[in-house]
Amino acid sequence: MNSYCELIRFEYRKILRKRSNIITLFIAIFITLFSCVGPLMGNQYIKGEIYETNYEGMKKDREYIRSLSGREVDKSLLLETIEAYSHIPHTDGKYTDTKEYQQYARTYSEVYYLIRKAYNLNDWKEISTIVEDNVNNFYHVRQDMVEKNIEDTTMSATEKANSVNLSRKVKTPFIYSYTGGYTRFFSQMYTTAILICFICSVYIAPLFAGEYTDKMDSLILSSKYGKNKLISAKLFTGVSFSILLSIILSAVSFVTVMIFFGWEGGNSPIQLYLPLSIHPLTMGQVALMNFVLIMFGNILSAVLTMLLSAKLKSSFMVIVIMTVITISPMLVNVSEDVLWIYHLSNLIPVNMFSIGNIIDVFSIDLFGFILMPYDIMLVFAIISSIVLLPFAYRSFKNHDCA
Amino acid sequence: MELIIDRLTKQYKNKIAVDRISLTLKEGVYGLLGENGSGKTTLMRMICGVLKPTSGDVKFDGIDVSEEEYRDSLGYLPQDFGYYPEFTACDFLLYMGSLKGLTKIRAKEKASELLELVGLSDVSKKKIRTYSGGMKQRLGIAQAMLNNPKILILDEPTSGLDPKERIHFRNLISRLGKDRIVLLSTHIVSDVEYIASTILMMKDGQIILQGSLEEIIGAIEGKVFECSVDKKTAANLIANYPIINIREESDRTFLRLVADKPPCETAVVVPAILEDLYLYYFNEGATGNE
Repeated sequence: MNSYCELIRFEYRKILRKRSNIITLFIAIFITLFSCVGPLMGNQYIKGEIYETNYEGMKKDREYIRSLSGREVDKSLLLETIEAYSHIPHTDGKYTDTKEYQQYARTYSEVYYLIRKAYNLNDWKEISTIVEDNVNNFYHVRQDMVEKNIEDTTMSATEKANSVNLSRKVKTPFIYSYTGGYTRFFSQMYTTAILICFICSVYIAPLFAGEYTDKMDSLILSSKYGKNKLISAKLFTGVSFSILLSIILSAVSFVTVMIFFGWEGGNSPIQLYLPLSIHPLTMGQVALMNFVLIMFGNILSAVLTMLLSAKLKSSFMVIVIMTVITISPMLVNVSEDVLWIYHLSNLIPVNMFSIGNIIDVFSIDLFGFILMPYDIMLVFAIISSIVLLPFAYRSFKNHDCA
Repeated sequence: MELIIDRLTKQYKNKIAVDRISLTLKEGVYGLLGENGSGKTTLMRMICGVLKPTSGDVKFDGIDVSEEEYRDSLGYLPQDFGYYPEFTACDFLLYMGSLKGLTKIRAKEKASELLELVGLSDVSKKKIRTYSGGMKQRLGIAQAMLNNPKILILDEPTSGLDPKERIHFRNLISRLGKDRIVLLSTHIVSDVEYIASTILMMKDGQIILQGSLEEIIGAIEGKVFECSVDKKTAANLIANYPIINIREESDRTFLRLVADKPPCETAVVVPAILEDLYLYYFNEGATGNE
């Protein structure tokens, strides 16, 4: 056990002794910090003039929302919103640039977002068409919209029924709350996850391939533990490194975002962010789920990197292939019409990072078992990592130093 | 202590690099001689288990080359190998020590002892990337001996070393051969001549000669001649005999050659040395030998 720990320690030293790796790590932390607070930089302009800084704007919105926090999203709040929006004059420009929006409606902008999604409004002006009876039925209207969305998919009847059942478990009425920290965290985590994935590829690619290029393979493979313990130590290093990096950069993202945007909202329903979501989950639960899937997606990505590293002779080629695997799914929009292709495409690590894919409207009937997308992603990431690891192991073990 | 190589073969597509070699090695220093591409490195890699043979077996005291126990008895210095440039010599030996199953304390002791032995104690805390080729080679020899191996495979161990270092290592290897099997290949025929108890000569993937220095030199004893002849005779002799050495003198040419009987009237028989035998067998490569 001691020699195994010692070998792991040396593998970490190999990674961290490279100055370029240390610089990359600091750059990654800086990019994470910067992108967390990026939306707070710059100014809001109205008619070409600075109206407020983005930071001031965020603070103002936060105070407005906090002033409504704790209230039920009910007829009274909805009517207040409709009334507030009725003050906005019909202009050709952006309605948010009007004095009336700033004075009356801005406080209710997040409530308006719920209304817009539930009532399927294309334009803010349509808010005035919502009659009082309809306001009374907000949760019915929202549920109808959710079920319509489910019905419009190409899911099987069983899958649709499951999604509908799940959506009916969403607790109503929603308690309004400020959730800016969490919503910013959800947007930020996609960037952070891709950064983690890329850094893991750069750091892990030389784990095996580096031994070939450094011409250390023959020394290693002829040593006592070179064909067993060392390979396990390398695999452990790769997986643990991706876990550690996921934890570090996710923590940096979470703490930074919460410090700047506010810590509250963890117990609020996810529907305050995604009004038509079918999942009876809180913001905190979704944030945790997002983190877990990012971590396991990155573990899968790290295992793929190690497999390529053991197979190929060059770290550079491994990084190139992993970059293609990471970036290409972002460029391809897979249609939801052929669901099995769509679900398969969501098993690519980078697609596991998107909150939209994790808590999608879909249920998946897999050989009679009804599963949710996040279940499939998690199980796939774990199983495929476990399946691929022995291939990486064997590939290095059987490497011929010719 | 017995290393048995049984009908070991390595074939790459149409080329047979090692052709059914069978050997039994016991304690002592074995010098492997052969020109470039004769299969020496391929043979050594297979003995070290880092290259899979097409057929045949390698066993040490009944333990197969693929087993951990075999590797535990092995020390290997490859011909062409690298280091972690960011590691110090001390770090590198500690890493190799942990790979070879040494405890941290034992690895530290052994690393310190070997760094002293190879003359790198003073620079043990410097990064390897600052080392010269000779220093790296010395570090390579140190790592090969870390686990006090029973089988020591050294592929060109003295390349990159200056003459003084070479003699130092020649003596060191000679001492090591007393209680272990040492197999070394080298460019330098004199290294083998001085320290190898058994010489193995390889050509085209096969062992063509095997024995002590006296035994294998016996093959050309009485057949090595030296003569000093005019240019015309020299041209004639060069065309008809394996030439070991040519030296141009003012109006004559000095030749050292191998022949069954005196090639000319002035030729005198001289004692054969290993280099004569080597050049005799690898005559085609005499100008560009290993």
